[in-house]
Amino acid sequence: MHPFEIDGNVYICPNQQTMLFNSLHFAVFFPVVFVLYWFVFQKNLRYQNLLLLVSSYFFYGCWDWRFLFLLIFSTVLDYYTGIRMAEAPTQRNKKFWFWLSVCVNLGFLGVFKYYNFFAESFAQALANFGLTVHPYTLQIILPVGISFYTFHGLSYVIDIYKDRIKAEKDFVDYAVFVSFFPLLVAGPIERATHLLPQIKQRRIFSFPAATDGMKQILWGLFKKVVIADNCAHFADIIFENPSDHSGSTLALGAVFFAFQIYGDFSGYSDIALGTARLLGIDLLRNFAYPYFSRDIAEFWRRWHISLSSWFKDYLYIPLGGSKGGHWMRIRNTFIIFVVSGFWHGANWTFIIWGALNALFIMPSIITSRNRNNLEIVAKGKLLPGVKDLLSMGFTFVLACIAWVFFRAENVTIAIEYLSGMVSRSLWTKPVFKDDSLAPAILLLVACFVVVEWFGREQKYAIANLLRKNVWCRWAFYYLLVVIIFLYAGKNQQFIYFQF
Amino acid sequence: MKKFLFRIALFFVPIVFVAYAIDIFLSENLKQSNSFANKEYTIWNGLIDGTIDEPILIYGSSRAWVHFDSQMIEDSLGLGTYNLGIDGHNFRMQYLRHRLATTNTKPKLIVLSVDDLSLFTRPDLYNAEQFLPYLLWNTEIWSRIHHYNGFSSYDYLLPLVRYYGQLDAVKEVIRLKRTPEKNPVIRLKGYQGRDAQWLGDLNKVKPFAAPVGELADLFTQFLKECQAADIKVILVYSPQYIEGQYLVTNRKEIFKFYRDCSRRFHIPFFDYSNHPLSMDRDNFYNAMHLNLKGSRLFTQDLIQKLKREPSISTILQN
Repeated sequence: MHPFEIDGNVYICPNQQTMLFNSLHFAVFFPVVFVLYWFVFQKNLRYQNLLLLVSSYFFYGCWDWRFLFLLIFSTVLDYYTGIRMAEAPTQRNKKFWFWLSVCVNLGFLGVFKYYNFFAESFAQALANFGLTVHPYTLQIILPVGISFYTFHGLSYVIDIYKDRIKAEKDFVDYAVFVSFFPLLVAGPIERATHLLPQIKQRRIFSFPAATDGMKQILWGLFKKVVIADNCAHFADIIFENPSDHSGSTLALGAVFFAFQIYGDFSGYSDIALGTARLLGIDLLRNFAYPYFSRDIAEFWRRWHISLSSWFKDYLYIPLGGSKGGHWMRIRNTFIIFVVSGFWHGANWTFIIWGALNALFIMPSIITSRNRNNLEIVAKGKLLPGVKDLLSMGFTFVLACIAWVFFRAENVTIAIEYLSGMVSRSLWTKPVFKDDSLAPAILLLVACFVVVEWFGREQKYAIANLLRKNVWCRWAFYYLLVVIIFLYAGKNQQFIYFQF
Repeated sequence: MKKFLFRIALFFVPIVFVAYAIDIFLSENLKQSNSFANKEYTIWNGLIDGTIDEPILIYGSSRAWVHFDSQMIEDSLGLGTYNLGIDGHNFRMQYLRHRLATTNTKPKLIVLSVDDLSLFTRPDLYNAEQFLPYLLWNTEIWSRIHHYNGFSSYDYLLPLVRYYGQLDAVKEVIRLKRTPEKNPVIRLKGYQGRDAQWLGDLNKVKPFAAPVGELADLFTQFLKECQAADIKVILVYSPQYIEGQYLVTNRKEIFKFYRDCSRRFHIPFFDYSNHPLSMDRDNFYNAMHLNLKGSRLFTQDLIQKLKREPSISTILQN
């Protein structure tokens, strides 16, 4: 992104070289990789993996080639420490290499992502005691995807340390695991146990998997450019000046943001999964219709699944999980939610967002009802029952309240937003600045929810849609293409790239 | 794999064929609009079709567009006049219009409206929609706009790509098809006076610098080309509300450049900075733009100046 200034205002233009999934650059890049992968290097797994590595580095370099060195360094570090841990003569030696990797990985994350936050928070804390300090802050850009590939590397070294997996000896295979381009910048956060074996195994082209991948890409694009980007347009206007809007408009703004972030991130994940499937690789599922959840515990089993399970396996369980009794469970739940919030960004808004989710989940933890809803709602039925409907509505409201903190610039604005929302004007008609587009977008969101509802038992909503009638199915795909073409929103950046 | 590729081809080939047909349909209809894209299509159509062949052409930004009443100039001087002012753009785009205008015929006189922002480069392509109907495979236009963050080479090379997400443009085409009679020409000979009272709020705009960038070279190159082609040029700094003249902090530097050009190429420079018109807020609707009343007063004054100007008297006599 290139910031520039006119009339004292800073404007940002998207970098035309950026390799977004919804850009034409990617539409050119991926077919080239696909053709080379299946037609030129098809018979040689090593060349195929080398191609994946080179294309992944090219993909990442298109964002900012300087940070490529950081990615390579992080890869080499974890690869090397993994081998040293595996070959360590003593437990102490193994521990040394383990902590070296953990400290360097977290150190990079700390410097690039959290240094300024800690420096400013420290200065603010001192200011409360009447001491004025001017902290030295870094003028640095956050390397795209750093949180994701750092977590890849961490899970790998932790698994080796815990003797769950063996260290990977082949650097190319390991590097592909860390930097495989569909998941490099925004996940899903993969595990070595799941992805590495696929990288080491010869891939055979599968027609059903490939067509499935194409469909998932199409659905992901629709979610991103139609649902997310258009909801972003309204959410941005409303969140920019909350005091200018009525309670009902603010409430709708929170709903718009809820769909923006869902469409954006799950759309990205769909494109990533579809792209990987076209290359014969299955990635972990990241979303499972979270807005059809009946409680917050279920919501978190369905939202950003790869991150939730990462925290469960590498933080919650090592902290003692639920084995140490009620208080231990409550403490550990709070810790993982706050850390999860902090993982999203160095801002108090994210920490409060995490803490709020922990608070919302507490009743079900305390009453041991957090695993009540493991199956998708109304399984095998056309419509949900009244109880399910009310539960889903209530859970969605709680999620929206938490999203306000996630989206707001700071905590003060979030509180101002929520207090503006819970006012008498909540019952008035919402008013939009850009009235002409709002009804169409609301209709599209409504259609989207309907399609998601009917497809909720599938991996993604349109996986089995109109399966029996090829003409209707193709007509639906063309309709999606037309809607994407016409209603593509202006906002191109994916939200989760900043994390 | 063969089956997969066949299916992919089956899905995408119709899209590719239909894309070109839809592109032509959209472009041909959209360019008929006299209101979309800040009413710029009227001018672009004339330039690309070669129908703008007036001997007096007015170049500049939106200040040219709303200040120079071309019909009034034409009636007074007896020479066809066309206003090519382009909203929100600097000299790069004005030069593109000049290139297109002089493809077949050359004007006798160019009245170049200069201002504080004429030579200031901004990276975004303002009002990008104005290029939609013409961009596909048009090298001249592409060469002038590819510097900006607006369109990519895919937009220039591939049919329909540039209409991606342009719902308003598609809606405008549908509107024109449904009600073709509701499409009045708003810019008469390129000019559109704005009948409005003062709307501006000077406090909203912070002072800023508009450095004379690489466009200065293009500007002098243009003056050289005009000199070589025996096209008379007059530089005009049309009225700007006096309180708005402090918004650009390096105004002196910009004016020095224009004066130097005026001296170097022996061309007149009419500076209205301290003219009584610039002192009266009633003549403006914001700090940069004259309203209808102000533009008429200004055009009358300019006509008198043009009549008195010895260097162009020969043009007027012919």
